[in-house]
Formats: sequence, C-alpha cells, structure tokens
Amino acid sequence: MHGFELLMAGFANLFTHPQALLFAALGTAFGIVVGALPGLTATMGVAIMLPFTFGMDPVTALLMLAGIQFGGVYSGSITAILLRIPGTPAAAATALDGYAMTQKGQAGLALGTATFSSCIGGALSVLALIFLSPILAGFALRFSASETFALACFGLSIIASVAGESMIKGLIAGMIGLLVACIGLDPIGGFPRFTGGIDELMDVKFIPIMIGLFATAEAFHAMESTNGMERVRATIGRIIPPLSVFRRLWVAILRSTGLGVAIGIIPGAGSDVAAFVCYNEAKRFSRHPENFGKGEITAVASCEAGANGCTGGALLPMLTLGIPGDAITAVMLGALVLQGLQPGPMLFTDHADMVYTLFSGMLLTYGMVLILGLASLKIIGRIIQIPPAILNVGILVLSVVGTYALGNSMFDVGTMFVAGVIGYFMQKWGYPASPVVLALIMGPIAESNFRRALSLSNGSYDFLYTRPITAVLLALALTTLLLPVLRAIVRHHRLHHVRSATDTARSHPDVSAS
Amino acid sequence: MNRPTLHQLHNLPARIGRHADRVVGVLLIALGMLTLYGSRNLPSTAVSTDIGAGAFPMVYAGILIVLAILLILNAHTTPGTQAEQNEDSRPSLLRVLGGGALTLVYIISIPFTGFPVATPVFMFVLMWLLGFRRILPSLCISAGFTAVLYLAFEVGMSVALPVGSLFE
Repeated sequence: MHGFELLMAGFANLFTHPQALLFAALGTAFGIVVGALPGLTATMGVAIMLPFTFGMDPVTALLMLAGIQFGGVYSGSITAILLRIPGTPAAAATALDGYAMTQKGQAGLALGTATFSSCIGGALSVLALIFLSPILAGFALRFSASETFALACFGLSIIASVAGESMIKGLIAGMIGLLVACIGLDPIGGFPRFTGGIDELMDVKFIPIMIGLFATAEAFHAMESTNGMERVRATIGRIIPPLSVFRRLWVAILRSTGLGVAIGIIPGAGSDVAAFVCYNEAKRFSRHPENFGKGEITAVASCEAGANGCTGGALLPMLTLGIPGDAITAVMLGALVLQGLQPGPMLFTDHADMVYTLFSGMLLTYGMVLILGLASLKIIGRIIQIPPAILNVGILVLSVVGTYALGNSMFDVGTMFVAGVIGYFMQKWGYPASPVVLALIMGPIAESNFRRALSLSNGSYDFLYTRPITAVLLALALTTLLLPVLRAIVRHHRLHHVRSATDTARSHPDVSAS
Repeated sequence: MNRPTLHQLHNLPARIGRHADRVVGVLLIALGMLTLYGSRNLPSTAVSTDIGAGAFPMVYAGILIVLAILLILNAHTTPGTQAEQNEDSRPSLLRVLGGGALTLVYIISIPFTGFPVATPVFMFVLMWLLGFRRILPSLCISAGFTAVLYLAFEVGMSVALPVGSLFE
C-alpha cells in the first residue's frame, strides 16, 4: 500500500530528527495542563503557542500544536470527572456520567477509561486521516449550509437526552441558551440584537459563559459546605481498567471514533459537537439507557473517543481542502500558512514526505498522551485532596485569569461571574447546565446556516426535505427530540396515577386497590 | 397568621422548591415577552428571501413561554428539589452570598488595584471565610499562587494581566 510505505518513511524521518518528537512531548504536556485547568481550553493553548512556532520547521511546529490539541482535548475530561468542571467544552458531555462515577467511588476507573478511550479514538482517527483521505475529503464537500443546519438541529435535539430528571427544565435551559446565543451581532446581517446600546454585548463569548456555568458555579456550590478544611478522602484508586471492562467498551469506542471522525470532517463542527452526539448515540444503542447520567462507563468512553476521534477528522478537510474542520484546525491552518505551506491537494503531491512524517508523528503523539496522561493522573490525584476551602478559591482565581486571558477583557470576566451566579441557582433549582452548552454551540450554527440555505435556495423551504443528507439528519433530530420527551410524559403520568391511587387508598382504607 | 406547624417546617425545602418553580416560571414568561417585544423590529438584510434577524429569537421566545407555562402548571406536582436544605440552610446561604459578593468585589477591583494586588487579598479573605484560618500558611498560599499565575501568564504566555489604574 502506497500510504503504508510513506508512513514507514515518515517514522524513519522522525527518528533522524528527534527534536520534533521532543516538541511534540512538550506540547502534549502543556496541552494536558492547559486542558485540565478550569478556565483554560485547548484552543487557547494552541492559539497562545502559535507565535512560538514561527521559528520552527513545519513538522516540529505542527507536531507541537497537535500535541497541545490532543493533550488538551483529552485532559478536559480530568476535571470534568473529578470536579464536574469541564476543562474544555467537549468535556461537558463527559462530566455528565464521569462525575457521577466519581460520586460512586469509581473516579479511577472513569479516568483510566477516559484516557484509554481518548488515545484509541485519537490514534484511529489519525489512521483514518492517513489511509482514507481521498475518500473522506469528498464527504466534506457534500456539506453545504443546509446540511450543516440539519446537523446543528440534530445537536440541539440532544438536549432532550441530557435533560436529566426534569424534561421541562432541561428544555427551558436549552431555550435560555439559545436566546443568550442571540445576544450580539446577527450572524447574517451583522445587526446588533438585544445589546441595548452596550458595545461589549456585541460579542458575548461562549467560553466565559461555560466557565461560569461550571467552574464558578461549582465553586459557589462548594462554599455551602461547612467542611471547608476537611481533606477530601476520595482517593483515585485503580486507574487502568480491567480487560473485562474493555471487552464491554470496544464497540462503543469504535462507533464513537467513527462518529467523531465524521463530525470532525464536517467543517464547523468540532470536538464539542462530537462528544455530545457520541453520548446520545451511546445511549441509543445501550442495553441500559436508564443508567446514562448516573455513572455509566460506556458514556465516558464514548464521549472521549468521539471528542478525540474528531481531532484526526478535523485535520482532514484542513489538509486536503484548506477548509478548517474546527477552531483548533483553523489555528493550525494559520501555522501552515506561517510556514509558507499551502494546504490543499497540492500539499500531498508537493510535500508528501513532510505530510507523512507529520502523520507518523501524530500517531506517536497519541502514545505520548497515553503515557503523560496516565502519569498526570497521579499528580491530579494529590491536587484534588487539597481542602475545598483552598481548592475552590484557586479555581475561582483561575476562572478569572483564564477568562481574562481569552481576550484581555474584564467584560468577559463579568460575563463569567453572571453565568456563575445563574449557574449556581440553576443547580439549586434543578436546571441542567449541559443544554445551555449545547444551545450556545449549536444555536448560532443553526441560525446562520438556515438563513444561508434559504437564500441559496431562493427563499424556498424545499431544501429541508429534498436534500437527502439534510432530510436524514432532520428526521434523526426529530426522533432524538421526541422520544425522550414522550418517555418523560409517560413517566410523569404514571407517577401521577400512582400518587392519586395511594392518596385514594389513604383516604378510603377499606376500598381495595385494584 | 398561625405559627407554622412542625409538619410545615419539615416540608419547607419542598415548598421553597415549588415556590421557586412558580417564580422562575413567571420570570421566564416575562423574559419571553420582553424578547418578543425586542425582536419585532429587528431588520432583515437586503436579500429578499431573508427571514430577518428577529425570526429565530421570536421562535425561541415563543417556545420558552410555552415551557414556562408548563413549568408553572407542573409546580404543584414536583416533589421538593433540594433535600439538603436542612438545619444548615441559613448559615450556608450566607457563606455563599459572602463568597459571591467577595468575588464580585475582586473582579471590580482588578482594573483599579491590578491583578497582583487584588488576587492575594481576595484569596486570603475568601479562604478565611471558608474556614482556612491559619494566617501564615494562608498568606503564603495566596502570595505564592498569585506569583505562579503571574509568571505563567505574563511571562510564559505573554498575556498582559491588568496592572491597575492606581499604579499606572
């Protein structure tokens, strides 16, 4: 196989230039730290390090950035599992069941599963990138505004799956997220919406809101406890999952990796979309969907495999077509251009050896994520044993600094604080935070692509049912939304029946229950 | 007005939960109405097929109002939302309010006093509030953490942290 030979040549190339691997390791370590810290994200890490790559050769530069991305996307799950604070938006899906596992005393298992799933998903996605580029590149081109709108609708419908105990409150949280996403400049015409004349409101950023909803709100919630100085006795325990667990998980991991690669290929959809879609599909295909949200290990494995599966997928359109698959690959596109390279079909013909050296380096980088990730878990284990009184103050300060670092804006910090207060009360009154995250990510994508599709079809709505991919995705969205809602209505009525039956029995003790 | 019976006091968390649902529901309906009002005049682009900037927000607001009505209607059937609000509820709420207010003060003061000054003070005071009362270790942690962050961001990542208008 031609690709295989080139890959072997790539490995050989790397071993004669070990500095590339060194920087990949440094990037991975940096990425793991940045991704794990609440308030900092993988995208931020890549963006911050971009200027430093100017002096490097292309392979070293891209491997370092890839290391930051791979490490960062993985490590967001660490704090998501341990503290219910996702380090990156993709980890918000992992937090759903990951934190529940920690509460059941299975933190180590969750972390180990997340680590292995991330690396397997990521490595497989790089292999897909290597061997399937020509086939998959065509897939990226079939996605126009209409298909992207349908995908965003599907993403929004997942709100019904992550709504948790109260479907109404989950949907309300989603709607509020959608409305908040509308604040600012209208995506098509650029008109200010709901800004009230305040300039800063023209650009309400998503990350500060996410940091506020999770990190800040959690810190506020932890302040309620009177045991501020009590050492958290929860230990991590066994990290490497036993083989029996893997046997159950490998189907979910493979499926999620495939989905992750597919979603990564779609321009505009990134790891966060992939993580939630994989969560939803894992729940759909599971034999015990009722366990989801209560500490189901398949959920953790799926989210992580999907999110990291996205990394290889997102690089595909970037390298083959010059179209970035997500925000991080957009930054890497910038790095390529900085290096004087033009992504696109010519890249593979003119610089084939460099490209395949890069691919082989990426495979090794995922190996580094595995080793460094497992090593870091030991350190993280000590950190979470810091008394909450100190840990939560640290988290608050990190949230403030991290949010500020995004755009040098105290307004963003203010947004984060408001989101933190709202998030605290949402938690208190039973409103889940994940629908808000989904809405903030998918809402703008849905609206801008719908209006674009409408103008592309000259005002006709037929793109909704005439284009096959669109129709399939919309049908999927409808079922994903309606099934959990119907299930919730049935559950509600059953509960109502039981309660009125017991009330009747209590007030008429001689009437037999039939 | 009768003094609350023991039964009613025990049921307080549930009643606060239901009450909160109704209040939130009303607030959400108000938010929805406000959004509808604010969206009605939003312009569309020159492209004749565009549905306008107000279309999506109006749909969202409409759905939100419907959901809020359902929330209010369901409020009487919801069991209590937070069972952990027992005897500890008032001191814990004060702690959270104190922590939240302190955080707000910290954020507001950063542009004036700068990050390197505001942060250690904030950390020391908040840790004391949350129970970490050992003065010297607390001072060391506050100053140390601030220094580490300063080095990591300013030096390591070239992010210019606020110096504070008092010091410029």
